[in-house]
Amino acid sequence: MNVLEQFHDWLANYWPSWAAYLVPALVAFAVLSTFILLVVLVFIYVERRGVGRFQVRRGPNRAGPFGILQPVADAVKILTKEDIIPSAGDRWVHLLAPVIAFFPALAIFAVIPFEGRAIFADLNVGILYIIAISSLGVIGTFMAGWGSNNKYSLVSAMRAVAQMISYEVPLVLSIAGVLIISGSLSMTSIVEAQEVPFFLLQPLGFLIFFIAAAAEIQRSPFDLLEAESEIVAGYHIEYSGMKFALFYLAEYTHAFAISAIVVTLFLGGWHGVLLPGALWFMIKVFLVFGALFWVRSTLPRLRVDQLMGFAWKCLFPLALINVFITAIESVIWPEFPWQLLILNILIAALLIVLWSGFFRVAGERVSFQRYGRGIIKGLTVTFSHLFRRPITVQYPEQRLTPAPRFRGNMLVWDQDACIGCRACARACPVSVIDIETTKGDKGQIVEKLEVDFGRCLFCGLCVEACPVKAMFMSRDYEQASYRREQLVVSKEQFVAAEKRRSAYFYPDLEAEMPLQTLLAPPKEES
Amino acid sequence: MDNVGITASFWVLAVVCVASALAVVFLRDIFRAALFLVLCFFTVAGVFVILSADFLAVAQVLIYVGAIAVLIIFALMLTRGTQQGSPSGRFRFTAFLVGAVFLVTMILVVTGTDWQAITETPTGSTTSALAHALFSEEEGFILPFEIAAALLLAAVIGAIVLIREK
Repeated sequence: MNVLEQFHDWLANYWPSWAAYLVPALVAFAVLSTFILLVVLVFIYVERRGVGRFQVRRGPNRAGPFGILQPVADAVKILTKEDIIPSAGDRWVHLLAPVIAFFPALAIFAVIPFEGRAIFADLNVGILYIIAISSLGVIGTFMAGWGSNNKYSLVSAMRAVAQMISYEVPLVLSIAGVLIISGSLSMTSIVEAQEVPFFLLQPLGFLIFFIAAAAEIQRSPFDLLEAESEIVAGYHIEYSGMKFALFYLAEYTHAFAISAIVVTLFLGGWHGVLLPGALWFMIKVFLVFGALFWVRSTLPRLRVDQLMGFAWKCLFPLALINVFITAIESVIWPEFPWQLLILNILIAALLIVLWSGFFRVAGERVSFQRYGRGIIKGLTVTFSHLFRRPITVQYPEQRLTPAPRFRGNMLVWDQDACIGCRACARACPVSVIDIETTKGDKGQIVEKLEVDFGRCLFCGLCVEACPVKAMFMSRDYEQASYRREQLVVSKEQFVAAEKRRSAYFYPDLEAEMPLQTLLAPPKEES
Repeated sequence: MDNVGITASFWVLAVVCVASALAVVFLRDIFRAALFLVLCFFTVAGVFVILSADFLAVAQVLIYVGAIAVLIIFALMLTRGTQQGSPSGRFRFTAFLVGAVFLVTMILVVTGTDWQAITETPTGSTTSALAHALFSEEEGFILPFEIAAALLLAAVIGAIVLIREK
């Protein structure tokens, strides 16, 4: 008996039966969907930050501490956008598409057991229900592609359906192995059957399911239907505002759902030590989701023919073989002792290595030694980026220290050292230094110094020409203004400016300069 | 309580089902017609749920919505000029005749059959019962099932042979 049924039984003592039936369902639905949306917001944030770390670039870091408010800011932005409906499109199909795309992703959660008793409805056909419901998502994509009356969205929708139909086959077949071992279609019984997590007993099935699931939810490397370089944005190209937000949410809700299914089917669901089951479940979900975007941030997108070939020639036969082997094993060892995992892992490794030999890329036989190692190597490289020192700079407040001999975009002038010899002006190949001097008590006095940085080449010849170390290149690397004449820097501005000298031409200055930020060793952090 | 709820949901489903079926026939926009077909299949699945036939309901969605309807829509997208509505067919009269014959046959069969309503409430899951009915060796349909599988395989191979370029 799950929590929902308990609530219903308790309520039935006080309220009329229809209310006792309806209210718990509505409450559970509200709680569940709120929880899902919150997790999805966290997912969006975590993925954007995580992909930033994996790829050594920035994630959202401006809104709030560590950019944590970015999803909120995005939501506000999206809500205030104009709602555009293509005039030549099919209005109702266009409007309904995001809802229909979002619905199946949400409906999957009805049978996900977050814990033994925390499940909306423990259907005894649970996993079949999931397969059936998730095949609906493609209709939403279709409607979006068609209703927008846009050739790119139509192409994207066609790709989507071809991809989803193809990858559904290995997806379902890889589940069959799990079903043979657990002997049930109910999600709770599948979890309860996992004394050993099924990804050990079904390593091949797990891999196939993971890959096919990534293709089902169109995550990179299978995100052909939103390949920006080919079809701009894919099926949601004509969508703006809240309708686009629904597609976006649907994508991440689907990712959450798929992670939850992987955890339920292969990673032992809520089983775990010490911590409460629901917490274990969420930890595992986040690990699976992390793996999803780890792969996403590493592998490049596939070509259409490669995508289809991979589904039909690689995943499909391997999934069939997996079902076959599992069925034979279930006849020989009906109890599925855990020792089988050694045999199954060996079979999986052997099959993958052998099967990859059937394929040709650019007329050359695919060898696992080359491509398999390449993929693993790529994954380790991106993973190692997680442990790098973050190099994020909050730019206008915080600046990078450039290389010591950096030639910045302004000169530093030392008035006290200057003797007014005008060597700099004579050395300047583009004559942008305008200097006027008068005779003073102790040599020349600089009356006027104007440098037009709009025409300056930053060649550094003026610095080299100066006999008395009065002219330096600067470390600054930005100079922006609204008008050209503001680029002409006068004597007063030179005097007032901060003296951020670069070590260009004066290597002895390097000692007093802060270390370069970008490649500095970690010990320098202060 | 259950009776009221189930009756209410049955009528909602029935009305939506018949209405969407009519829409499939009468709409000129063929893409929308296909979408209403999806809705129709879906409501039929809902009726199965009311009858406690959970496996059938899921199979209905899986096969009719997930596979057949999607394939129909996919075929529509590959067809030119679908937005202008269905063209006036040369087979209009023949189609009407076949449709009328089919309708009359169905009405006769449905009204002529002596339907036996089961009074006891269905219990438990239907999945294992279905499996036993299909696969058990004593009173099951294992042989017809295998024959159907072989037939499907033959059809698949035949389709591949037909579309292969010589």
